[in-house]
Amino acid sequence: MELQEVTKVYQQGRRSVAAVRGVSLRIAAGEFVAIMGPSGSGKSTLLHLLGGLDTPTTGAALFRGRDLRTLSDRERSLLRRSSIGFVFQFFNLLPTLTAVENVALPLLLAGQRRRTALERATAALEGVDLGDRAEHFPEELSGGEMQRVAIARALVTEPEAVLCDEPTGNLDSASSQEILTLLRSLPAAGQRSVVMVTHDAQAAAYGDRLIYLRDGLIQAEEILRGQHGRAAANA
Amino acid sequence: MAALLRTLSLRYLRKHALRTVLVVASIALGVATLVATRVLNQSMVQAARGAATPLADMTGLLVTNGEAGVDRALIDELRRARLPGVRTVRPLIIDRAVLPALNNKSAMLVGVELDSLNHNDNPWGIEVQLVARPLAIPRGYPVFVGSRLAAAMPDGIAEFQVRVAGKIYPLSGYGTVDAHDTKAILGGSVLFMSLDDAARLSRLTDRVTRIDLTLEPEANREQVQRQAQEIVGNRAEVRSPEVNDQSMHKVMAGLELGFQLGGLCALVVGLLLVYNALSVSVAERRHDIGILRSLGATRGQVAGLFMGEAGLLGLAGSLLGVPLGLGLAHLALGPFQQILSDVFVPLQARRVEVTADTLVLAVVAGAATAMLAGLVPATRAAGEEPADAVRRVPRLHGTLARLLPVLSSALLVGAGLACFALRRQLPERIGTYGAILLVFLGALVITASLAAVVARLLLPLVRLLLGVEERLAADNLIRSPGRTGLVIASLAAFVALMMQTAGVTQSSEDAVLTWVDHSIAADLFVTANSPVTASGQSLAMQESVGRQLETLLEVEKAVPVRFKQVEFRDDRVFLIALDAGAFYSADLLPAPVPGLELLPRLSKSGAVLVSENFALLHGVGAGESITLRGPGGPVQLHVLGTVQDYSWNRGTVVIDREHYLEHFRDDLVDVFDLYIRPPEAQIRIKLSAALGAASGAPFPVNLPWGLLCQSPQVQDPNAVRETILRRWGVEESLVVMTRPELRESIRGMIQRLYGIGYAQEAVVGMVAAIGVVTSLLISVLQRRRELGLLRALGASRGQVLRSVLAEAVLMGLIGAVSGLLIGIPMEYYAVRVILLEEAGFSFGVRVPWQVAGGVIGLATLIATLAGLLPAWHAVRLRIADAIAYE
Repeated sequence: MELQEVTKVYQQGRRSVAAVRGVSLRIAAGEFVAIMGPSGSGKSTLLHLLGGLDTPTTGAALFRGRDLRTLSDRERSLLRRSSIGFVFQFFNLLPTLTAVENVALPLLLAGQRRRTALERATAALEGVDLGDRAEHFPEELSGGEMQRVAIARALVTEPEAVLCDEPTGNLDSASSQEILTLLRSLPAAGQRSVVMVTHDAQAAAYGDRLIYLRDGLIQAEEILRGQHGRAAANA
Repeated sequence: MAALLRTLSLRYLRKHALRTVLVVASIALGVATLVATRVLNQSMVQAARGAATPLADMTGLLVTNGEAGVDRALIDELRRARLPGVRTVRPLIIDRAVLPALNNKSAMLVGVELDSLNHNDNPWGIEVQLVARPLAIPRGYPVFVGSRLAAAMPDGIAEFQVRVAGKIYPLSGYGTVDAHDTKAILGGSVLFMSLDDAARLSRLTDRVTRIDLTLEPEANREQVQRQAQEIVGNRAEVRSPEVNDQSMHKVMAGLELGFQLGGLCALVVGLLLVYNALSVSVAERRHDIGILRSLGATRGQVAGLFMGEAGLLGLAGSLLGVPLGLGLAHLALGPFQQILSDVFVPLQARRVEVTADTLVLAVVAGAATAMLAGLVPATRAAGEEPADAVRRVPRLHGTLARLLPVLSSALLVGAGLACFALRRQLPERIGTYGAILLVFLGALVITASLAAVVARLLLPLVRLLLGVEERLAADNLIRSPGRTGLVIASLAAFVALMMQTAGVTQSSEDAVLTWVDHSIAADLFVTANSPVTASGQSLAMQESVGRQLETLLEVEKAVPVRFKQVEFRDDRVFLIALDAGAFYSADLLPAPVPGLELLPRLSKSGAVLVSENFALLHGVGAGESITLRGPGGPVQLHVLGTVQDYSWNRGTVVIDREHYLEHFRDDLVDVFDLYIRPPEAQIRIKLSAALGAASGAPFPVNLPWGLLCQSPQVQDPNAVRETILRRWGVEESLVVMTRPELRESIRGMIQRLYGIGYAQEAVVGMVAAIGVVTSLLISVLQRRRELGLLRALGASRGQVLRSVLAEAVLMGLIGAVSGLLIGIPMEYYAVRVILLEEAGFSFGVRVPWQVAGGVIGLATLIATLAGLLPAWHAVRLRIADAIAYE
């Protein structure tokens, strides 16, 4: 994934707000990148640009070398469906669906038969140790469980990138640690990348690299490889 | 897509079960109204066809001369001609009879060549069953009786009596007849007898009602028609049964179309509510849409999901609506038939006509309506930017989105005005009815948009006069125009339609009753078997009945009047034959309607008056000629002038009775207008007779009558009626109405006719009520936090209840007032344009203010009652749950 001189300007009433201002960034396959910054620094916008949820006002957002701006909305949707997984702060599970159905959703969107989709979703849930909670509705799950369901959903299509927006922002410390350990296990060398936006320095320490964002610009960048182990041990 | 629909939509619909049920119910009601309307219309069209051309199912061509009947000589001429393609030539006499033994039940008397009943391939598919008869020689005319009628006869069919054309005849039943399926009516109130016997009873010695030509399957109908017409010349007309039915169709077409539009309105209001529910659903699920999009759902999938949901709701509504509609049609068939029989023509629809195309149309209409309603919300859902939706960034409405309702409304109103302007160029009725429908829809669309503006205008008043609960309710209306606007528009639709119907009813009633007061001076109206109607439900009487009535001292004059529905230029017009001199000289009216003063001039042979609506509809005026069919061929009549007359919606021709007898050879009477002699004059006659008989001298006229007469100044018509009924009531099967009763009967007929519209509007009201419930349930959900906060701040349950109900009341009031503003111009259009074009009646517009007050109250009450359920939901909210963040 790559951003080249990307800017993103929003219209708020009559006012234009530049959330991201000329950011260039490259995320390698198999890399776990943490993005930190204060509220309003443009972290989530950056994540949305990387995942094709949004398109840059100027500059280019590349995924596997393809400029997302040149793709149609449909092509971007198919890309998200097949190659990118999202994990959000408030889990964003559909309240009317059970855990397994939430996980199966991307597969159903891809046109898979319901039975097949549910089988694969069950396997993904078992992968995050929630096989026994498959038929529960979100309101019957704890915050940590909901987030693990969200991670299972992000992984069910075996994407090349998982993008996490404050995945521990709404969790207690024990659940946070479980989730971070789970996320840390996701990147595989040369294969799946993970990008995580967070406020939490301890969470950021799980990354291979930390990018510090302020006022829509990259203010600092730090290589953290190895630190997550110590952080996990300290926690 | 099916898996997605099952996983996402069905689950969502199940979660919001109450809302789903309400939306399905509103579609079901709309579809049910459409089905009931269409099925009833089809049944009535079928029945009207049966009334216009009875027993014509298997007939290829008819030889007819309208009501005057066909010269009997033509039967032999046609048979002798052996026209290629003609299989049989069957003369028919059809008349009405009543059975005194069955409380004067009406039956169709059919005269046929009896051998035609013997064939297995008789044209009507009749099965004849001979009955065992006593050995005694039968005293009556031989007859075959419809099996169901026979079963109802208390003393069997061996010997019984019928009254035909004012006379009683004995009949002897030789068997019963039965028929099935669409011809099942022939097994009902039907009497088959020989052609000659029927001719005697109907007094049609040299004529038959019509001659049916049955054709070979390979026959060229047009060619046979031409050849047959050459033979009959101008003595009759050869035509297809379909053409024969057209005149009847014209009589009822306006009502039929109006009725269909009423049904459509219920579906349109249902559409508004589905649109509303789906719009709210999209707004509510915006975040979910964002999640779906972030998971890779394409815009097409999102749109498809919402369209599929709409389709599911529509389909469920249709599947419920069809049986509901058929049930309603079954229930309404009897009253509906009675109304049309009173006003237009006696109909006999035994069952509702359900065709496959009606069922398919209903299901498609329901699903298509819902999908049409879902189109905009689905497009809006598909248009969501995933990043905005998932982050809950407030949605910005562009200028176009804000202007869309105004533009749509302007487009609809513009199209309506164009329809009106081009109505002469467009196919018949399309422009006139299209105009009102489109402008009505345009008004509803703008009402939905303006509701929030009205609420904003009301806000200062609410602040000034009412409490915080009401103020919050008004704020809520302003804040959610999308949710509340269309519900207010639905209530407005209900009120507008009610106002229009009430207005047209009152305008018609006032005009017709004023016309009765200023054109008919008689005190009593004597008919046979049934009260006075234009549809000819009563039986004809002999002239001798009038002479009998005049033997009563109390009766000054019995003026015979004959009504007939006759054909004129493929239309069915009304012919009134009356003793013009007697009618006018006996007329005590201080201010007769325009044209009535021309009546005495009808004594000139061939002169007629036409009603104002006849002149307008057929473009015939004073000095011109019209041709009607008489028994001896075409009768040319000279139009002396026009007269105000509201007897018939296709126009009336008034002729003097003497000339009617001369041209139409028909001396029967439908009604005797009786003028009561004042008591003073009665005493004068009594004394005159007594003294004159004693002295033989002429009686002095200048006696002090005032001193001599101690009797009341006015003779009580009821007393005269009692005398008439006592002396001839049973024997002649007479029915006598007083003037007030006649007025009441006409008023009742008008109210029943427009009552059909009220029935449809009740459904619109129910759908609107469902809309209020749905909208307020959504409001309670949307205001969950606000209501919870109010409770946390110390608001009582009663205050919460009041706030929710206040919103309902406000919606009801705004809807009702908007409906009033739409309904009054609609009434004006219906009276001044539609009634004028359909019937040529130029009525003054009366705004029913009393009804308006009632309807506003009703709409507000409906909204308030509909608000109770959501209010109950609101007071049951758990405070902690309501104010929780997620």
